[in-house]
Amino acid sequence: MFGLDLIVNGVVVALFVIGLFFMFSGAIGFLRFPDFYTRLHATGKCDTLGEILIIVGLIIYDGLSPLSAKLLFLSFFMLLANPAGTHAMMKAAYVTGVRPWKRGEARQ
Amino acid sequence: MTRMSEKNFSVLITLVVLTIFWLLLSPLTVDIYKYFIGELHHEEIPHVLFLLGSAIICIAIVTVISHDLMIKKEEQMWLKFKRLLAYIPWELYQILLANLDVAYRAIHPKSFVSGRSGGMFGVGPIDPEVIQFETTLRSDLSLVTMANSITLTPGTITILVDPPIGKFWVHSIAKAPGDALLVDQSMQKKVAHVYLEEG
Repeated sequence: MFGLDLIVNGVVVALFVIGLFFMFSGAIGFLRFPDFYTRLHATGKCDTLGEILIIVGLIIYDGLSPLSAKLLFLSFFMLLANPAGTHAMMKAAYVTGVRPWKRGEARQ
Repeated sequence: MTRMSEKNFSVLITLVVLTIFWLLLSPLTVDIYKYFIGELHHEEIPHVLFLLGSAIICIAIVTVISHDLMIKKEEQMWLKFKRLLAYIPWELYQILLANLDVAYRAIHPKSFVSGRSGGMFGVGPIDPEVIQFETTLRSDLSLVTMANSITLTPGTITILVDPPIGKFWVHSIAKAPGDALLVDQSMQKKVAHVYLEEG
């Protein structure tokens, strides 16, 4: 029971927990931040790292296998697609005239 | 690589990349591995060979159709590629910092907003602003890298980019991250260094 198996499982669980923490704080930020733009800050950033940490945990759990290769590609594309999606929504809101929240104003 | 024509170069690169991609994704890789260690059953071999042949034909067709989309030969491409590889670890570190930053701002008790009473933020860690600045970057690839890097680094998200003058509109969640872009300009210099443009 002791040995490599335990260490691998420990690392995997640690990665899952850290990833879940980031996803969770992203969700909290999404609910608490005052307007469209700041909410995108929360979801656009925390989701990227949270998902990637969870995927890295899965890769370590599975070891060197075809499934790991697919997961690696998944995390790579997530790293490219997530900022692009965030940027697309930001641009759409800015061009159609959603006004950014300023400090001291009421919450939207 | 020095004497290779542009077309041959892109065909070769596309072929290699597609083949590696296919090998990584295909379950046949396991069968091929089994064949080499002598565990593949004899009845399976024709089936594996058929799939392997169709894969090679598919890769060839895709290469012929799309090799000019995949990669274009540029000046000093190898140097740019090496510098990009050196840039990625720094970017990953920035992503970690960005997440800790957002998590801190989200969980910080002072940023609590009481729902109905039109709440104020008190002295919470949020003070959003939209900033604009011009850069010396011009090529498509460097602008895309810069825009993605801004979005992934702490506290800032790219809103708009104007390629001809290299101008960026950036939403910053507080004063400090915006000032880092406006005053420091370290990221802009890093990206210019990667793509061999004037910083």
